[in-house]
Amino acid sequence: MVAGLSNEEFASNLRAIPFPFGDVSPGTSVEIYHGAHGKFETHSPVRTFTPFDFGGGDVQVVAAYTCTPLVTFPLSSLKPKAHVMGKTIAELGNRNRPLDMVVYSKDGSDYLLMANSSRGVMRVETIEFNSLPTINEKVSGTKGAAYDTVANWDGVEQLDLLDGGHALILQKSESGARALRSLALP
Amino acid sequence: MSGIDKSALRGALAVCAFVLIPLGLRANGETVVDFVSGQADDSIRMELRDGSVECRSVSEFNGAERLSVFTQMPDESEAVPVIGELIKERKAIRFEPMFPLQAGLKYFVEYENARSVKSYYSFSIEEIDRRPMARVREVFPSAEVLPENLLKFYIHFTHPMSVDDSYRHIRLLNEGGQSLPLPFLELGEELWDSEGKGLTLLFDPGRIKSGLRPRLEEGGVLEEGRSYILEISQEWLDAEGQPMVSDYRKRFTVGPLDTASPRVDDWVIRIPKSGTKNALLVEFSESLDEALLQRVVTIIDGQGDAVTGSIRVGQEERVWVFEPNEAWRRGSYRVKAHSILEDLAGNSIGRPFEVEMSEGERHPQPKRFVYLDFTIR
Repeated sequence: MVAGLSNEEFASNLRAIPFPFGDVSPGTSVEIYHGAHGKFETHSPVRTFTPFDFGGGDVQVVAAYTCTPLVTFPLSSLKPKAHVMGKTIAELGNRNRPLDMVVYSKDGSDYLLMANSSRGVMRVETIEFNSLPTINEKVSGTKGAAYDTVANWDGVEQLDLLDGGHALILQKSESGARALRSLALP
Repeated sequence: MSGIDKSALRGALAVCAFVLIPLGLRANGETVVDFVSGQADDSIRMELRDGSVECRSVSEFNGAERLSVFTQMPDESEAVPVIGELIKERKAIRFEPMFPLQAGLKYFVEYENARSVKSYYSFSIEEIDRRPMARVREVFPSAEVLPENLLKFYIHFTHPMSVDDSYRHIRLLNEGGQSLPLPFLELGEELWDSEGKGLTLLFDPGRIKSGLRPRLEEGGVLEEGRSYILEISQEWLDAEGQPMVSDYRKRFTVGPLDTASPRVDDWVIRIPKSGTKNALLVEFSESLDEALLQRVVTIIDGQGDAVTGSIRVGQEERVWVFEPNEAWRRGSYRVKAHSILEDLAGNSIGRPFEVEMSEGERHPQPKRFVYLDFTIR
Protein backbone atom coordinates (compact mmCIF):
# COMPACT_ATOMS: atom_id res chain seq x y z
CA MET A 1 0.00 0.00 0.00
CA VAL A 2 1.22 3.45 -0.84
CA ALA A 3 -0.04 6.76 0.52
CA GLY A 4 1.03 9.89 -1.25
CA LEU A 5 0.96 13.63 -0.93
CA SER A 6 1.44 15.44 -4.22
CA ASN A 7 2.58 18.98 -4.80
CA GLU A 8 -0.55 19.95 -6.69
CA GLU A 9 -3.37 17.81 -5.30
CA PHE A 10 -4.09 17.97 -1.63
CA ALA A 11 -6.45 15.00 -1.46
CA SER A 12 -4.92 11.77 -0.27
CA ASN A 13 -4.77 8.78 -2.53
CA LEU A 14 -4.14 5.35 -1.19
CA ARG A 15 -3.13 2.78 -3.73
CA ALA A 16 -2.95 -0.94 -3.29
CA ILE A 17 -0.20 -2.22 -5.58
CA PRO A 18 0.13 -6.00 -5.95
CA PHE A 19 3.58 -7.48 -5.37
CA PRO A 20 5.60 -8.31 -7.40
CA PHE A 21 5.18 -4.83 -8.82
CA GLY A 22 3.55 -4.70 -12.21
CA ASP A 23 1.28 -2.26 -13.88
CA VAL A 24 -0.99 -0.37 -11.55
CA SER A 25 -4.38 -0.08 -13.13
CA PRO A 26 -5.71 3.45 -12.81
CA GLY A 27 -8.81 2.06 -11.15
CA THR A 28 -7.01 1.11 -7.96
CA SER A 29 -6.65 4.67 -6.78
CA VAL A 30 -8.74 5.07 -3.68
CA GLU A 31 -9.67 8.32 -2.06
CA ILE A 32 -10.08 8.40 1.67
CA TYR A 33 -12.50 10.65 3.43
CA HIS A 34 -12.77 11.07 7.10
CA GLY A 35 -15.82 12.20 8.83
CA ALA A 36 -14.33 14.44 11.46
CA HIS A 37 -15.94 16.50 14.16
CA GLY A 38 -19.05 18.48 13.49
CA LYS A 39 -20.00 16.25 10.57
CA PHE A 40 -17.47 17.67 8.16
CA GLU A 41 -16.17 15.49 5.45
CA THR A 42 -12.91 16.56 3.88
CA HIS A 43 -10.10 15.26 1.78
CA SER A 44 -6.76 15.08 3.48
CA PRO A 45 -3.33 13.58 3.02
CA VAL A 46 -2.42 10.50 5.04
CA ARG A 47 0.99 10.96 6.61
CA THR A 48 1.70 7.45 7.85
CA PHE A 49 -0.24 4.25 8.15
CA THR A 50 0.01 0.58 9.04
CA PRO A 51 -2.25 -2.41 8.52
CA PHE A 52 -3.22 -4.19 11.69
CA ASP A 53 -5.37 -7.12 12.72
CA PHE A 54 -7.39 -6.02 15.72
CA GLY A 55 -8.77 -9.47 16.13
CA GLY A 56 -12.21 -8.50 14.92
CA GLY A 57 -11.84 -10.72 11.88
CA ASP A 58 -11.08 -7.91 9.47
CA VAL A 59 -7.65 -6.38 9.02
CA GLN A 60 -7.78 -2.64 9.63
CA VAL A 61 -5.61 0.15 8.35
CA VAL A 62 -4.63 2.71 10.98
CA ALA A 63 -3.83 6.00 9.30
CA ALA A 64 -2.58 9.27 10.77
CA TYR A 65 -3.46 12.45 8.94
CA THR A 66 -1.35 15.59 8.69
CA CYS A 67 -4.21 17.59 10.19
CA THR A 68 -4.11 15.41 13.36
CA PRO A 69 -6.90 12.78 13.25
CA LEU A 70 -6.02 9.13 13.71
CA VAL A 71 -8.37 7.07 11.59
CA THR A 72 -9.13 3.40 10.96
CA PHE A 73 -10.84 1.71 8.06
CA PRO A 74 -11.07 -1.91 6.95
CA LEU A 75 -8.38 -3.11 4.56
CA SER A 76 -11.07 -4.95 2.59
CA SER A 77 -12.76 -1.64 1.80
CA LEU A 78 -9.83 -0.58 -0.38
CA LYS A 79 -11.43 -1.71 -3.59
CA PRO A 80 -10.80 -0.05 -6.93
CA LYS A 81 -12.66 3.25 -7.19
CA ALA A 82 -14.16 2.73 -3.74
CA HIS A 83 -14.69 5.73 -1.47
CA VAL A 84 -14.03 4.91 2.09
CA MET A 85 -15.27 6.74 5.17
CA GLY A 86 -12.64 6.36 7.84
CA LYS A 87 -13.48 6.17 11.53
CA THR A 88 -11.73 8.89 13.53
CA ILE A 89 -10.53 7.33 16.78
CA ALA A 90 -8.37 10.10 18.14
CA GLU A 91 -6.85 13.47 17.44
CA LEU A 92 -3.16 13.72 18.00
CA GLY A 93 -2.86 17.19 19.41
CA ASN A 94 -2.01 20.59 18.08
CA ARG A 95 1.35 21.53 16.52
CA ASN A 96 2.08 17.90 16.20
CA ARG A 97 2.62 15.86 13.10
CA PRO A 98 2.62 12.11 12.84
CA LEU A 99 5.85 10.71 11.36
CA ASP A 100 5.81 6.93 11.47
CA MET A 101 4.03 4.04 13.18
CA VAL A 102 4.32 0.33 13.93
CA VAL A 103 2.14 -2.18 15.75
CA TYR A 104 3.45 -4.93 18.02
CA SER A 105 2.43 -7.35 20.73
CA LYS A 106 3.90 -7.52 24.20
CA ASP A 107 2.79 -9.47 27.25
CA GLY A 108 -0.48 -10.43 25.61
CA SER A 109 -1.46 -6.88 24.61
CA ASP A 110 -1.26 -5.18 21.24
CA TYR A 111 0.13 -1.67 20.92
CA LEU A 112 0.42 1.01 18.32
CA LEU A 113 3.65 2.97 18.55
CA MET A 114 3.72 6.28 16.75
CA ALA A 115 6.53 8.81 16.28
CA ASN A 116 5.43 12.45 16.26
CA SER A 117 7.11 15.73 15.41
CA SER A 118 6.57 17.35 18.79
CA ARG A 119 5.08 14.88 21.25
CA GLY A 120 7.71 12.19 21.24
CA VAL A 121 6.70 8.60 20.64
CA MET A 122 3.15 7.73 21.68
CA ARG A 123 2.04 4.27 22.70
CA VAL A 124 -1.62 3.31 22.44
CA GLU A 125 -3.12 0.02 23.50
CA THR A 126 -5.06 -1.03 20.42
CA ILE A 127 -7.73 -2.98 22.26
CA GLU A 128 -9.43 0.39 22.70
CA PHE A 129 -9.79 0.98 18.99
CA ASN A 130 -12.61 -1.41 18.30
CA SER A 131 -14.71 -0.24 21.19
CA LEU A 132 -14.21 3.48 20.67
CA PRO A 133 -17.13 5.38 19.23
CA THR A 134 -16.40 7.63 16.29
CA ILE A 135 -15.42 11.06 17.49
CA ASN A 136 -17.99 13.30 15.99
CA GLU A 137 -18.57 16.05 18.47
CA LYS A 138 -16.29 19.00 19.04
CA VAL A 139 -13.51 18.19 21.46
CA SER A 140 -10.89 20.01 23.41
CA GLY A 141 -7.78 18.35 24.67
CA THR A 142 -6.67 15.01 23.34
CA LYS A 143 -9.71 12.86 23.03
CA GLY A 144 -10.31 9.33 21.96
CA ALA A 145 -7.83 6.54 22.48
CA ALA A 146 -5.69 7.09 25.58
CA TYR A 147 -1.96 7.09 25.07
CA ASP A 148 1.23 7.39 27.02
CA THR A 149 4.46 8.95 25.84
CA VAL A 150 7.49 6.69 25.78
CA ALA A 151 10.27 8.15 27.93
CA ASN A 152 13.67 8.89 26.38
CA TRP A 153 12.55 8.26 22.80
CA ASP A 154 12.98 11.86 21.72
CA GLY A 155 13.61 12.96 18.16
CA VAL A 156 12.48 9.71 16.56
CA GLU A 157 11.87 10.27 12.85
CA GLN A 158 11.41 6.71 11.66
CA LEU A 159 10.69 3.48 13.40
CA ASP A 160 10.32 -0.11 12.45
CA LEU A 161 10.29 -3.48 14.14
CA LEU A 162 13.67 -5.19 14.30
CA ASP A 163 12.31 -8.37 15.88
CA GLY A 164 9.57 -9.36 18.29
CA GLY A 165 11.15 -7.45 21.15
CA HIS A 166 13.05 -4.56 19.58
CA ALA A 167 12.41 -1.49 17.48
CA LEU A 168 14.87 0.04 15.05
CA ILE A 169 14.69 3.81 15.21
CA LEU A 170 16.20 6.73 13.38
CA GLN A 171 16.73 9.36 16.02
CA LYS A 172 17.72 12.98 15.47
CA SER A 173 19.67 14.63 18.26
CA GLU A 174 19.49 18.30 19.21
CA SER A 175 22.67 18.95 17.24
CA GLY A 176 20.98 17.60 14.13
CA ALA A 177 22.99 14.37 13.93
CA ARG A 178 20.98 11.24 13.21
CA ALA A 179 21.61 7.90 14.83
CA LEU A 180 20.22 4.47 14.00
CA ARG A 181 19.47 2.61 17.23
CA SER A 182 17.84 -0.58 18.31
CA LEU A 183 15.83 -0.33 21.51
CA ALA A 184 13.66 -2.72 23.48
CA LEU A 185 9.98 -2.20 22.73
CA PRO A 186 8.22 -0.34 25.54
CA MET B 1 49.46 9.39 -47.55
CA SER B 2 49.92 6.03 -49.10
CA GLY B 3 51.95 3.65 -47.01
CA ILE B 4 51.01 5.33 -43.70
CA ASP B 5 48.66 3.55 -41.33
CA LYS B 6 45.73 5.95 -40.95
CA SER B 7 44.81 4.84 -37.47
CA ALA B 8 48.39 5.44 -36.35
CA LEU B 9 48.16 8.92 -37.79
CA ARG B 10 44.96 9.58 -35.92
CA GLY B 11 46.68 8.42 -32.77
CA ALA B 12 49.56 10.78 -33.41
CA LEU B 13 47.15 13.66 -33.92
CA ALA B 14 45.32 12.79 -30.72
CA VAL B 15 48.61 12.83 -28.80
CA CYS B 16 49.45 16.21 -30.34
CA ALA B 17 46.11 17.52 -29.24
CA PHE B 18 46.78 16.50 -25.66
CA VAL B 19 50.20 18.11 -25.73
CA LEU B 20 48.95 21.38 -27.15
CA ILE B 21 46.10 21.85 -24.72
CA PRO B 22 46.96 22.90 -21.19
CA LEU B 23 45.74 20.43 -18.63
CA GLY B 24 42.56 21.25 -16.81
CA LEU B 25 40.53 23.55 -18.96
CA ARG B 26 40.21 24.18 -22.63
CA ALA B 27 40.02 27.75 -23.85
CA ASN B 28 36.24 27.56 -24.00
CA GLY B 29 35.98 26.31 -20.42
CA GLU B 30 35.25 22.67 -21.24
CA THR B 31 36.73 20.11 -18.90
CA VAL B 32 39.46 17.96 -20.42
CA VAL B 33 39.55 14.24 -19.73
CA ASP B 34 43.15 13.02 -19.43
CA PHE B 35 44.46 9.57 -20.20
CA VAL B 36 45.98 8.15 -17.01
CA SER B 37 47.07 4.55 -17.50
CA GLY B 38 46.31 1.22 -19.11
CA GLN B 39 46.36 0.55 -22.80
CA ALA B 40 45.63 3.70 -24.74
CA ASP B 41 43.05 3.14 -27.41
CA ASP B 42 43.44 5.63 -30.24
CA SER B 43 40.11 4.78 -31.78
CA ILE B 44 38.15 6.28 -28.90
CA ARG B 45 37.89 9.73 -27.45
CA MET B 46 36.78 10.39 -23.89
CA GLU B 47 34.96 13.65 -23.23
CA LEU B 48 32.84 15.37 -20.66
CA ARG B 49 29.73 16.66 -22.35
CA ASP B 50 26.74 18.31 -20.66
CA GLY B 51 27.64 16.78 -17.33
CA SER B 52 27.97 13.24 -18.74
CA VAL B 53 31.08 11.21 -19.53
CA GLU B 54 31.04 10.32 -23.19
CA CYS B 55 33.26 7.85 -25.01
CA ARG B 56 33.14 8.29 -28.78
CA SER B 57 34.58 5.83 -31.24
CA VAL B 58 35.55 6.15 -34.89
CA SER B 59 34.19 2.66 -35.48
CA GLU B 60 31.06 1.05 -34.13
CA PHE B 61 31.03 -0.43 -30.65
CA ASN B 62 30.04 -4.06 -30.48
CA GLY B 63 28.06 -3.68 -27.23
CA ALA B 64 30.39 -5.51 -24.85
CA GLU B 65 32.30 -2.36 -23.85
CA ARG B 66 32.01 -1.04 -20.31
CA LEU B 67 32.41 2.41 -18.84
CA SER B 68 32.50 3.14 -15.11
CA VAL B 69 33.20 6.30 -13.14
CA PHE B 70 34.85 6.40 -9.71
CA THR B 71 36.04 9.04 -7.27
CA GLN B 72 39.46 7.37 -6.96
CA MET B 73 41.44 5.01 -9.13
CA PRO B 74 39.28 1.87 -9.07
CA ASP B 75 42.06 -0.26 -7.56
CA GLU B 76 42.28 1.96 -4.48
CA SER B 77 40.38 0.93 -1.42
CA GLU B 78 38.69 4.31 -1.07
CA ALA B 79 37.31 4.21 -4.61
CA VAL B 80 33.62 4.96 -4.66
CA PRO B 81 31.72 4.12 -7.82
CA VAL B 82 29.51 6.89 -9.14
CA ILE B 83 25.91 5.87 -9.70
CA GLY B 84 24.48 6.62 -13.11
CA GLU B 85 23.05 5.25 -16.29
CA LEU B 86 25.06 3.84 -19.20
CA ILE B 87 23.61 4.71 -22.57
CA LYS B 88 25.04 2.82 -25.53
CA GLU B 89 24.75 4.16 -29.04
CA ARG B 90 26.35 2.96 -32.24
CA LYS B 91 29.49 5.05 -31.93
CA ALA B 92 29.17 6.46 -28.44
CA ILE B 93 28.83 5.22 -24.88
CA ARG B 94 27.58 7.80 -22.44
CA PHE B 95 27.60 7.66 -18.66
CA GLU B 96 24.90 9.94 -17.28
CA PRO B 97 25.39 10.39 -13.53
CA MET B 98 22.25 10.23 -11.43
CA PHE B 99 23.42 13.29 -9.49
CA PRO B 100 25.47 16.17 -10.91
CA LEU B 101 29.23 15.68 -10.77
CA GLN B 102 30.73 17.87 -8.07
CA ALA B 103 33.19 20.69 -8.61
CA GLY B 104 36.46 20.18 -6.74
CA LEU B 105 36.39 16.38 -6.89
CA LYS B 106 38.69 14.34 -9.11
CA TYR B 107 36.95 11.59 -11.05
CA PHE B 108 38.38 8.49 -12.68
CA VAL B 109 36.92 6.69 -15.68
CA GLU B 110 37.52 3.02 -16.34
CA TYR B 111 36.94 2.00 -19.93
CA GLU B 112 36.96 -1.66 -20.88
CA ASN B 113 36.85 -2.48 -24.55
CA ALA B 114 35.23 -5.53 -26.13
CA ARG B 115 38.48 -7.54 -25.66
CA SER B 116 38.41 -6.73 -21.91
CA VAL B 117 41.40 -4.41 -22.19
CA LYS B 118 41.14 -1.59 -19.67
CA SER B 119 42.25 2.01 -19.87
CA TYR B 120 41.89 4.75 -17.29
CA TYR B 121 41.14 8.45 -17.61
CA SER B 122 40.63 11.22 -15.15
CA PHE B 123 39.15 14.70 -14.98
CA SER B 124 38.25 17.31 -12.42
CA ILE B 125 35.54 19.90 -12.56
CA GLU B 126 36.99 23.25 -11.62
CA GLU B 127 35.47 25.14 -8.76
CA ILE B 128 33.81 28.11 -10.34
CA ASP B 129 33.85 31.30 -8.35
CA ARG B 130 30.09 31.75 -8.36
CA ARG B 131 28.15 34.79 -7.42
CA PRO B 132 24.65 34.51 -5.98
CA MET B 133 22.29 33.94 -8.90
CA ALA B 134 19.09 32.47 -7.52
CA ARG B 135 15.99 34.57 -6.97
CA VAL B 136 12.36 33.89 -6.33
CA ARG B 137 10.93 34.09 -9.85
CA GLU B 138 7.30 34.20 -8.82
CA VAL B 139 4.88 33.09 -6.17
CA PHE B 140 1.37 31.82 -6.79
CA PRO B 141 -1.34 32.76 -6.06
CA SER B 142 -0.24 36.11 -7.46
CA ALA B 143 -3.25 38.10 -6.24
CA GLU B 144 -2.85 40.68 -3.49
CA VAL B 145 -6.06 39.66 -1.71
CA LEU B 146 -6.23 36.02 -0.69
CA PRO B 147 -8.93 34.01 1.10
CA GLU B 148 -8.73 33.44 4.84
CA ASN B 149 -8.60 29.68 4.22
CA LEU B 150 -5.84 29.87 1.60
CA LEU B 151 -4.51 26.32 1.15
CA LYS B 152 -1.06 26.76 -0.36
CA PHE B 153 1.63 28.82 -2.02
CA TYR B 154 3.70 27.74 -4.99
CA ILE B 155 7.19 29.26 -4.84
CA HIS B 156 9.18 29.23 -8.07
CA PHE B 157 12.92 29.93 -8.08
CA THR B 158 15.15 30.84 -11.00
CA HIS B 159 17.67 28.13 -10.07
CA PRO B 160 17.51 24.70 -8.39
CA MET B 161 17.62 25.14 -4.62
CA SER B 162 19.08 23.19 -1.74
CA VAL B 163 16.39 21.04 -0.20
CA ASP B 164 15.79 19.42 3.19
CA ASP B 165 15.92 22.61 5.25
CA SER B 166 13.45 24.79 3.39
CA TYR B 167 10.97 25.71 6.09
CA ARG B 168 13.68 27.44 8.11
CA HIS B 169 14.00 30.07 5.39
CA ILE B 170 10.31 30.85 5.01
CA ARG B 171 8.42 33.09 7.39
CA LEU B 172 4.95 34.48 7.54
CA LEU B 173 4.95 37.91 9.18
CA ASN B 174 1.97 39.77 10.60
CA GLU B 175 1.42 43.54 10.41
CA GLY B 176 3.69 44.05 13.41
CA GLY B 177 6.51 42.22 11.63
CA GLN B 178 6.26 39.24 13.98
CA SER B 179 6.81 35.79 12.61
CA LEU B 180 3.78 33.51 13.06
CA PRO B 181 4.54 30.13 14.66
CA LEU B 182 4.19 27.06 12.42
CA PRO B 183 1.75 28.39 9.82
CA PHE B 184 2.78 25.78 7.26
CA LEU B 185 2.70 22.02 7.10
CA GLU B 186 6.34 21.01 7.53
CA LEU B 187 6.97 17.72 5.80
CA GLY B 188 10.12 15.64 5.96
CA GLU B 189 9.74 15.08 2.26
CA GLU B 190 9.42 18.62 0.99
CA LEU B 191 7.13 19.05 -1.99
CA TRP B 192 9.53 20.03 -4.79
CA ASP B 193 9.09 19.76 -8.52
CA SER B 194 11.43 17.51 -10.48
CA GLU B 195 13.88 20.34 -11.25
CA GLY B 196 14.22 21.48 -7.65
CA LYS B 197 13.01 24.94 -8.65
CA GLY B 198 9.40 24.86 -7.48
CA LEU B 199 8.24 24.29 -3.89
CA THR B 200 4.66 23.76 -2.76
CA LEU B 201 4.02 25.25 0.66
CA LEU B 202 0.83 23.97 2.31
CA PHE B 203 -0.79 25.80 5.17
CA ASP B 204 -1.31 23.58 8.21
CA PRO B 205 -4.55 21.81 7.22
CA GLY B 206 -5.45 21.32 10.89
CA ARG B 207 -5.82 25.11 11.14
CA ILE B 208 -7.96 25.35 8.04
CA LYS B 209 -10.49 22.60 8.61
CA SER B 210 -13.54 23.18 10.72
CA GLY B 211 -13.74 21.47 14.06
CA LEU B 212 -10.21 20.16 14.32
CA ARG B 213 -8.18 20.83 17.42
CA PRO B 214 -5.45 23.04 15.95
CA ARG B 215 -8.05 25.47 14.61
CA LEU B 216 -10.22 25.30 17.72
CA GLU B 217 -7.27 26.04 19.98
CA GLU B 218 -5.30 28.53 17.93
CA GLY B 219 -7.68 29.69 15.23
CA GLY B 220 -6.85 29.91 11.57
CA VAL B 221 -3.46 31.15 10.45
CA LEU B 222 -4.85 34.06 8.45
CA GLU B 223 -7.43 36.55 9.63
CA GLU B 224 -9.79 38.47 7.37
CA GLY B 225 -8.93 42.15 7.01
CA ARG B 226 -5.31 41.73 8.12
CA SER B 227 -2.17 42.05 6.02
CA TYR B 228 0.74 39.63 5.97
CA ILE B 229 4.12 39.20 4.38
CA LEU B 230 5.45 35.92 3.04
CA GLU B 231 9.20 36.30 3.47
CA ILE B 232 11.86 34.10 1.92
CA SER B 233 15.35 34.60 3.26
CA GLN B 234 18.34 35.42 1.10
CA GLU B 235 20.30 32.96 3.25
CA TRP B 236 18.58 30.03 1.58
CA LEU B 237 21.31 28.34 -0.45
CA ASP B 238 20.78 27.23 -4.00
CA ALA B 239 21.79 23.74 -5.13
CA GLU B 240 25.34 24.99 -5.77
CA GLY B 241 25.65 26.27 -2.22
CA GLN B 242 25.27 29.99 -3.01
CA PRO B 243 22.85 32.25 -1.16
CA MET B 244 20.11 33.99 -3.09
CA VAL B 245 20.55 37.45 -4.59
CA SER B 246 18.12 39.03 -2.13
CA ASP B 247 15.28 38.42 0.28
CA TYR B 248 11.85 38.02 -1.26
CA ARG B 249 8.67 39.45 0.20
CA LYS B 250 5.10 39.04 -0.93
CA ARG B 251 2.67 41.34 0.82
CA PHE B 252 -0.99 40.39 0.77
CA THR B 253 -4.22 41.13 2.57
CA VAL B 254 -6.80 38.58 3.59
CA GLY B 255 -10.36 38.47 2.34
CA PRO B 256 -13.28 36.35 3.51
CA LEU B 257 -13.39 32.58 3.83
CA ASP B 258 -14.08 30.83 0.56
CA THR B 259 -16.11 27.69 1.17
CA ALA B 260 -17.83 27.30 -2.20
CA SER B 261 -16.82 25.46 -5.34
CA PRO B 262 -15.89 27.66 -8.32
CA ARG B 263 -19.03 28.18 -10.42
CA VAL B 264 -18.36 26.79 -13.88
CA ASP B 265 -21.58 28.40 -15.13
CA ASP B 266 -19.96 31.80 -14.60
CA TRP B 267 -16.98 31.05 -16.83
CA VAL B 268 -16.79 33.17 -19.97
CA ILE B 269 -15.15 31.83 -23.13
CA ARG B 270 -13.63 34.35 -25.54
CA ILE B 271 -13.81 32.52 -28.85
CA PRO B 272 -11.35 33.27 -31.68
CA LYS B 273 -12.24 33.19 -35.39
CA SER B 274 -11.58 30.25 -37.67
CA GLY B 275 -8.51 30.47 -39.86
CA THR B 276 -6.56 32.30 -37.15
CA LYS B 277 -4.15 31.14 -34.49
CA ASN B 278 -5.58 33.65 -32.05
CA ALA B 279 -5.79 32.73 -28.42
CA LEU B 280 -8.89 31.33 -26.79
CA LEU B 281 -9.55 32.74 -23.34
CA VAL B 282 -11.53 31.26 -20.49
CA GLU B 283 -12.29 33.85 -17.81
CA PHE B 284 -13.16 32.75 -14.29
CA SER B 285 -15.09 34.60 -11.62
CA GLU B 286 -12.30 33.97 -9.07
CA SER B 287 -8.60 33.06 -9.05
CA LEU B 288 -7.94 29.35 -9.54
CA ASP B 289 -4.96 27.12 -8.72
CA GLU B 290 -2.14 28.00 -11.11
CA ALA B 291 -0.54 24.56 -11.29
CA LEU B 292 -3.82 22.77 -11.93
CA LEU B 293 -4.82 25.32 -14.59
CA GLN B 294 -1.62 24.43 -16.42
CA ARG B 295 -2.31 20.72 -16.18
CA VAL B 296 -5.98 19.76 -16.05
CA VAL B 297 -7.70 22.09 -18.53
CA THR B 298 -7.61 21.21 -22.24
CA ILE B 299 -9.47 21.90 -25.46
CA ILE B 300 -10.95 18.98 -27.40
CA ASP B 301 -12.40 19.02 -30.88
CA GLY B 302 -15.65 17.53 -32.18
CA GLN B 303 -14.05 14.06 -32.32
CA GLY B 304 -12.91 14.29 -28.72
CA ASP B 305 -9.23 14.67 -29.66
CA ALA B 306 -7.10 17.15 -27.76
CA VAL B 307 -6.18 20.30 -29.66
CA THR B 308 -2.44 20.91 -29.32
CA GLY B 309 -1.22 24.30 -28.26
CA SER B 310 0.33 26.24 -25.41
CA ILE B 311 -1.26 27.35 -22.17
CA ARG B 312 -0.73 30.55 -20.22
CA VAL B 313 -2.42 31.67 -17.04
CA GLY B 314 -2.85 35.35 -16.32
CA GLN B 315 -4.64 38.17 -14.49
CA GLU B 316 -4.13 36.77 -11.02
CA GLU B 317 -4.99 33.27 -12.31
CA ARG B 318 -8.45 34.40 -13.39
CA VAL B 319 -7.79 33.81 -17.07
CA TRP B 320 -6.70 30.68 -18.91
CA VAL B 321 -5.18 31.43 -22.31
CA PHE B 322 -4.82 28.78 -24.99
CA GLU B 323 -2.86 29.38 -28.19
CA PRO B 324 -3.28 26.58 -30.75
CA ASN B 325 -0.36 25.23 -32.77
CA GLU B 326 -2.55 25.08 -35.89
CA ALA B 327 -5.12 27.62 -37.07
CA TRP B 328 -8.64 27.09 -35.70
CA ARG B 329 -11.10 25.32 -38.00
CA ARG B 330 -14.83 25.85 -38.10
CA GLY B 331 -16.70 23.45 -35.92
CA SER B 332 -17.68 22.51 -32.41
CA TYR B 333 -15.16 22.25 -29.58
CA ARG B 334 -15.23 21.79 -25.83
CA VAL B 335 -13.25 23.11 -22.89
CA LYS B 336 -12.52 20.01 -20.81
CA ALA B 337 -11.68 20.57 -17.14
CA HIS B 338 -10.92 17.82 -14.64
CA SER B 339 -13.15 18.11 -11.59
CA ILE B 340 -10.04 18.34 -9.35
CA LEU B 341 -9.48 21.92 -10.59
CA GLU B 342 -9.45 24.05 -7.44
CA ASP B 343 -9.71 27.61 -6.31
CA LEU B 344 -7.23 29.05 -3.81
CA ALA B 345 -8.94 27.43 -0.82
CA GLY B 346 -9.00 23.87 -2.11
CA ASN B 347 -12.61 23.98 -3.28
CA SER B 348 -12.62 22.03 -6.51
CA ILE B 349 -15.18 22.42 -9.28
CA GLY B 350 -16.32 18.92 -8.28
CA ARG B 351 -16.83 19.55 -4.55
CA PRO B 352 -16.03 22.09 -1.85
CA PHE B 353 -12.98 21.54 0.36
CA GLU B 354 -15.25 20.75 3.28
CA VAL B 355 -18.74 19.35 3.04
CA GLU B 356 -21.10 19.62 5.97
CA MET B 357 -23.44 16.67 5.95
CA SER B 358 -26.55 15.65 7.73
CA GLU B 359 -26.55 12.29 9.51
CA GLY B 360 -25.73 9.36 7.30
CA GLU B 361 -25.57 11.41 4.14
CA ARG B 362 -22.67 11.12 1.74
CA HIS B 363 -21.61 13.79 -0.67
CA PRO B 364 -22.30 12.54 -4.19
CA GLN B 365 -19.20 11.78 -6.21
CA PRO B 366 -18.62 14.50 -8.78
CA LYS B 367 -18.31 13.68 -12.46
CA ARG B 368 -14.70 13.24 -13.47
CA PHE B 369 -14.72 16.03 -16.06
CA VAL B 370 -16.66 19.19 -16.69
CA TYR B 371 -17.23 20.26 -20.31
CA LEU B 372 -18.08 23.65 -21.79
CA ASP B 373 -19.15 23.61 -25.44
CA PHE B 374 -18.29 26.33 -27.92
CA THR B 375 -18.26 26.76 -31.70
CA ILE B 376 -15.57 28.26 -33.90
CA ARG B 377 -17.12 30.15 -36.84
